[in-house]
Amino acid sequence: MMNRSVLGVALAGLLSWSSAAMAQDSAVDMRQFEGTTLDILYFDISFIPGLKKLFPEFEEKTGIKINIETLSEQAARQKAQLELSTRSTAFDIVGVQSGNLPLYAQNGWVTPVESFFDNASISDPEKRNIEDFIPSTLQGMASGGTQYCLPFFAATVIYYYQIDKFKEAGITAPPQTFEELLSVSAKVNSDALPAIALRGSPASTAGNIWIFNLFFYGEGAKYFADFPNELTPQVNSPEAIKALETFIALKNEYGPEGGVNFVFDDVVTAMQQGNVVSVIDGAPLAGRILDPEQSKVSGNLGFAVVPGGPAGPKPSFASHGLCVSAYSDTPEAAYLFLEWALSAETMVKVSQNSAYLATTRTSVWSNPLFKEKYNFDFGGGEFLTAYRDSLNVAPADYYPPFAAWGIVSDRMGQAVQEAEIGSKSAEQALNDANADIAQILRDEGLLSE
Amino acid sequence: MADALTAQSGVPAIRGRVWGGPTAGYRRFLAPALVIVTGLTILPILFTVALSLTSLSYTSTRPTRFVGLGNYAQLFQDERFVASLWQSAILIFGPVIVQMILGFLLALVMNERLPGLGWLRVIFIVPMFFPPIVMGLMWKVLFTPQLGGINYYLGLVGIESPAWLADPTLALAAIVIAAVWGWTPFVAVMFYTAMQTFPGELYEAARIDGASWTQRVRYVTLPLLKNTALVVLIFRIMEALAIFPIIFVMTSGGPAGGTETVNYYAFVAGFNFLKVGYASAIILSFLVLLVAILAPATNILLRSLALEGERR
Repeated sequence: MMNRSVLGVALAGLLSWSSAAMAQDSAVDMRQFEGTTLDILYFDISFIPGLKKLFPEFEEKTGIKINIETLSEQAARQKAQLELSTRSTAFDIVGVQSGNLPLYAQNGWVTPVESFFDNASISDPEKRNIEDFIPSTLQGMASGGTQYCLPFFAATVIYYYQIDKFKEAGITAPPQTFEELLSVSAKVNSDALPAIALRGSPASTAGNIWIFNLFFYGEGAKYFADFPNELTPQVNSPEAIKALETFIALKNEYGPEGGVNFVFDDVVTAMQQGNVVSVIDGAPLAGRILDPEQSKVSGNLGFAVVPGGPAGPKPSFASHGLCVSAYSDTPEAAYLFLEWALSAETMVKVSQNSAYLATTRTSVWSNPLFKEKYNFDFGGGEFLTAYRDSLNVAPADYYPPFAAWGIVSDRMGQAVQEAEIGSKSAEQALNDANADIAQILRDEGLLSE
Repeated sequence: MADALTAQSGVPAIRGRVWGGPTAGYRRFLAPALVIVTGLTILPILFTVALSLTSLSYTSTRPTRFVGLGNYAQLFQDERFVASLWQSAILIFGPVIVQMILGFLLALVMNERLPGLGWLRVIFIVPMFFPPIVMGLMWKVLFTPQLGGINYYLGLVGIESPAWLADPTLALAAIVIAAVWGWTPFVAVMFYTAMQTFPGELYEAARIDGASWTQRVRYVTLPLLKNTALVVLIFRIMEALAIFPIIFVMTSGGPAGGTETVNYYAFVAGFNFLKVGYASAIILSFLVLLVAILAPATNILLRSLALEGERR
């Protein structure tokens, strides 16, 4: 795994785009596609609900009608893949998560957004302002050096904890290492109030692997011998076994009952309702956890970068973006929408009209309105600082960018669950997973027989 | 003439009337149905067969090629597939067997003329109105230790509360319970409707002969119910595949694949892994297996119906 930090990734190619773009005429006729209808497919990840509220504004400005279909994350991904693999023209714009982008690129399902950048009639260099995107989020939407999509969501995780419970247990600072996390969890844990909730399901990228990998990488383990050159799997290394043992100790000894089935919603609800002392989950979910109408922990929540192991803290990382379908009848109109939707101006508006805070633009991070609304601080660390620091240390390729990652992560997710429910020891579960992943890679033509 | 033929020889006579003889001209009336069945059922199946013989996978870096029966050969070395076969057997036949028994008992109760039973009949069939996805959500909540009521009531009678959906065996049991709750009313209503048509003289004669309630059920109701039971059984086994949304919502096939049925695995292989060729082979193998199981039951039913026709 390449160990690049999120904000530290430099994209030299972007500089050439932006400088070339600045020289272009920025006059774009917003009504050139009047009467067109655009169909969008994704799920209601924060940003989308707020963006929907602004559709009338875009429709009035351009005369373009916007239809959006939002499903659950899994269903939206499956539907997009089905539509695109059958070359359907049903959707002009589809959302994608960075882990799936290589698959979309490999199959030519989306038109690279960079192919629109030189078209001055639809692309305004100031509005798209590529340099303003957090580089790692942009990199997540690129494959093989080509920019396929543009990001709107920077996902990472932080450690949330109830300040008063920590004080009662005599804990003065959030844990910084996995050992400290285990000892802190042991101190605050009780039958009535479990110490920590972590995702356990589904057994895949969107579920337990999203959290487990931070223990895995934190211990210094890696999936492959030398990604992307040498893909011999190494998921049963001593570091990997230790990571899994720590993960299941937290879940089974200090977590709520039935935690193996906890999807992200269960974790967020447990924290929001104060049913656990701490969680490790998405920083972008802070808005929901602290929702004044539902939260029982508002005013009592601390925020910190997740603990780490010998390799340091390795918070989860992914970006979500919007892409123009390769089979859209109106790709230029679709791009026009994309540029408007992902502009800094629109992102600020969405951050104000909804709970969207996972912005991918650095200018929005420093926007006074944004800071005022989201810089929660109840005496246990500033939220935006924890979020930013996590993005700084999160590995950009937290999910190795290749098309078969979904299959590998699913198998790994199964191994994590097997160890968690005790049907196999951590070592046995990972040995079996290693053998199966090698076979998967051979089947995919990525590993020699 | 046609009626006489039907009455004399049952099913074979129907076949003869359609495909030959003086009424052969009616065959053209079959054309629309044949076109629809060919277009919507036969062609997609043939297409799936064709796909199952290829290596089509959207994640693979290799070009798609013809692999013959390679995907089918791989199935039997795939531990996940073999495990899903056993889990399918449990999740399809488990609920169906319990539904048949409970449905029959419920129908017997519904068939009695007891005060207040009209309301009870309505309550019995309420689960039929729940879409499977809602049913799955409801039972997921009920089985969740922190939210559901099941463990609370078990605790009241001194039973230690398990984390139902966190243990593969208990999760299988939980899904069976949800499916039994959902589809027992259908079985009960079918049995009850059939019982309503049974001639009262038979029961009266049995009563005069001194048969007890149990004997009347054993020697009158059950034999009369045989054909309905076969039809219901065939329907239920076919529809038992509709357990998919319940699994999807309650366990997503987990924990650790412990509640994954063959069709759920085909869904994962096809839609998550995008291994279209392999997923086609999985689902076709399951189809063949189901037909092999259902064919004898259908045969028994047809033979029984034909015999009845001859008797008349």
